[in-house]
Amino acid sequence: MEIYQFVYTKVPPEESPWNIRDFHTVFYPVDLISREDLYEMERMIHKPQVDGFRDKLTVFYRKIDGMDYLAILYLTDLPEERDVFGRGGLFLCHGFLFPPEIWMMAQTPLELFDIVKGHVFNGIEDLLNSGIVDRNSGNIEAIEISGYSPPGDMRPPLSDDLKLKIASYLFKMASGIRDCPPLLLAGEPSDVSELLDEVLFYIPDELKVNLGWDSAFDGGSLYHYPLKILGFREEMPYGGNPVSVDLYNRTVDCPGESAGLLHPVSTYERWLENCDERVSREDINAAYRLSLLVDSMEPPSSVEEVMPQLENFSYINRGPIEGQFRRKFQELFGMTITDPDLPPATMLKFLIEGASCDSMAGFIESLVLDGYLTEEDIKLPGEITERSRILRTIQRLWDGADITDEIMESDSEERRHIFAYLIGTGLLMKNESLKDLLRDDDDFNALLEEREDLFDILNSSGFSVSGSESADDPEDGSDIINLNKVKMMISGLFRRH
Amino acid sequence: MDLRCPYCLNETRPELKPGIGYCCRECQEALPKDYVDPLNSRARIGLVGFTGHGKTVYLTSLFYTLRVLSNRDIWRNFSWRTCDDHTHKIKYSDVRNFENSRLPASTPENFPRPALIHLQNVPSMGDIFLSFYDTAGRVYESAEKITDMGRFVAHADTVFFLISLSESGLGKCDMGDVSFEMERLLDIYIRGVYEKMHVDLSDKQEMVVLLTKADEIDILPEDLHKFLNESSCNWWMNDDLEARFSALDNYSERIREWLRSEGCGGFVNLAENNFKGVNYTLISSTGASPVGDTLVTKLEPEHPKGVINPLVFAMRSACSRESAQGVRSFIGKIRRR
Repeated sequence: MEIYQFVYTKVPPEESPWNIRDFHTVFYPVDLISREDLYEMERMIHKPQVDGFRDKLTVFYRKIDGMDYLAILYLTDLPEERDVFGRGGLFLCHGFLFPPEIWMMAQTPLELFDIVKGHVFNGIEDLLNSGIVDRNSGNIEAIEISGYSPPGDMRPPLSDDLKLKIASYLFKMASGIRDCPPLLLAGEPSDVSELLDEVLFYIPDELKVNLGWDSAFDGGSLYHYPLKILGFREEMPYGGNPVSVDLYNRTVDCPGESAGLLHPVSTYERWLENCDERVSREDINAAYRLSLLVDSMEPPSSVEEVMPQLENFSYINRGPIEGQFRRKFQELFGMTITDPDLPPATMLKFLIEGASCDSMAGFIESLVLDGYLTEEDIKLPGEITERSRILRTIQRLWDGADITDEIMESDSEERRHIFAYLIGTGLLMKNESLKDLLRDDDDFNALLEEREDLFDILNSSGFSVSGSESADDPEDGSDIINLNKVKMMISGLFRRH
Repeated sequence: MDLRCPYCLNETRPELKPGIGYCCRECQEALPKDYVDPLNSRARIGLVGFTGHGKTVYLTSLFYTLRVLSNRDIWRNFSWRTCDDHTHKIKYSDVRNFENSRLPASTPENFPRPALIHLQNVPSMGDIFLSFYDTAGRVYESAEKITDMGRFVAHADTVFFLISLSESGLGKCDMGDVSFEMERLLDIYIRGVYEKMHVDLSDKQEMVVLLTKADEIDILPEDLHKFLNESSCNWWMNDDLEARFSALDNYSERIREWLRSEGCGGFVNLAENNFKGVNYTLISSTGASPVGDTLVTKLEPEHPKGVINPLVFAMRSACSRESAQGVRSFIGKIRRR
């Protein structure tokens, strides 16, 4: 694997491949980086003009050739160096570009900087004497690394209030859901970088690429700088209405209208705030995919993708998940459900898989059977009836088909459910062939012996049990009246359910 | 009244916030009260020039000389003050180092923070508010950079083109090469500001050419050499300032002709065909070449030469602009009646 690098500084013009006297990118991977990329990255180089400044890190992501590279710029002051005019103020900015296959393995950017910091040039002489730079072409060789193995993949949950606030803010900034003013952090450059590096771990990979920070932006113009997360030690950046964090006192000063940006709004942020287990980057990414599903109905490609956080995330975000569940349930089944008695993880699975969700077939089966629901109450999509023989039989019944064969093929337990349903809904009384079929069925009669309520329903509707059929004449409407009464009674039960 | 915010460069109507004062509605930065005051004349000045041609040293020397003008009461009752922390630092830290013969460090390629100063009782001109923008010379090496880090020049009323003939090759190569370098700067600038930022320079922008490090120009004609040596702060110790202004105009014309005579007519023509007005000055910010970042002899008030002259051109333009606007406004009011 290769880590690309570039160096921006000031060298005597005759030493520069580009014959430039001022600061410029002296060496860079000429085959990888275009002139436009170079300009954009040079825009991120800000030399703080404050006494005592030594070094700093700037971290951001840059799309090069369609891939998101992580760029880490290490800028170091060169107080002893002089330019061709004898002036001081020189510095050297050594940039490292990590391709996605490397940065996606690492937990945080600074972990990667540890790998390359031994390669940083100590000064202009060190740079010009290096064997990896080509003074004719301006090219600089990449750093080859083999067998990078990131340290442990789990981190403790974010429990520190300040860090949680910053994480919440970065999340909103990165997701672009709200217009966020710049975030200023007053502190030593190393403290700023350390804090942001730690918090960045808790931002999903997909969003990280929208963030970047400069750990020492003293005196800079917020309005004209591409990065919006900025540290400073002495001279506050100007030209904006920022949210300010003081790392010395651990306080946050937020313009009124921005106060909400520091608090969790999305289900992802709520998960982050309430999660009390150690988390990995897979967990972070899974929770984010789930939040996209719940907050904006963008389903992940599969349940497996979000499996690591299905239980925990759904437990923390039960309320919004239930809201989305009800909405989708109405959309798919044409029925309003007020209080779904389902584990939140199942509801989440339903949001991902819709009617194909395995556990939903059982739930719908219970709803239909226990609530004696008919086609007027609920729609049964094909994905559901495919997964339940009972519901398939009921759907055929609703369609007016003869279900004799289905009943005969059912096992004993299924038959008892179907019989109870037929009695409870009154559909049995409308179906002569079924009545004839069931009158002598052992399971049917056993059910009536066990279930007095069903027996009473049949009796009151004029159905003669065990060969004692009474005057059940559907023409006179008596069955229908009774059945309607039964259905009203059962519907009442279902609503309570 | 709408004005251009010196920080974000947007046209804005400042809002008054309790406890803060006037703020830009766009970037929320606090604006100096005198900058907002419509009665004050304003001039935005951009420093343009390649690296090493003396932009930052000039600005420091200018501030130093303004202190001298005030401290010695050369301009009677004249005073000036800084309007923000950044400018305060320049006046009381960088200028202090300069007084101790230390030159400022090279300027990095950051988006420049303006230096904001309020001049009071400038002879013949009254009060005027000035904002200066200084950035790395590298910005002027490409039109793309100008549109980014140098975009403040698009809103400058006057640009100071700082050109050191010695840094352009004088003494090492012939004047043709020097002229080439001068034209190169101007050409890049016009492409950046006129072509890319669509600023009508001939309508909006004055240009003052500052031939910096003029003490190093050994081919300077005698009269100009004499003028340079005389134009220390004490040159302004004269009650007839109009005569001084007139002398500046004459010397500007004389420098222009000299440049033409030295084969720099291409630069002169390009400038005059593209800007609203062009003036020429000779500058020596330190009076003599430094060694490294230190002056050879301790800086004395009389050492900087000609540093006030470009400022006078810019202030006169600002005042005539304000008067023209005043007349237009007056005529407008009469017509409305």
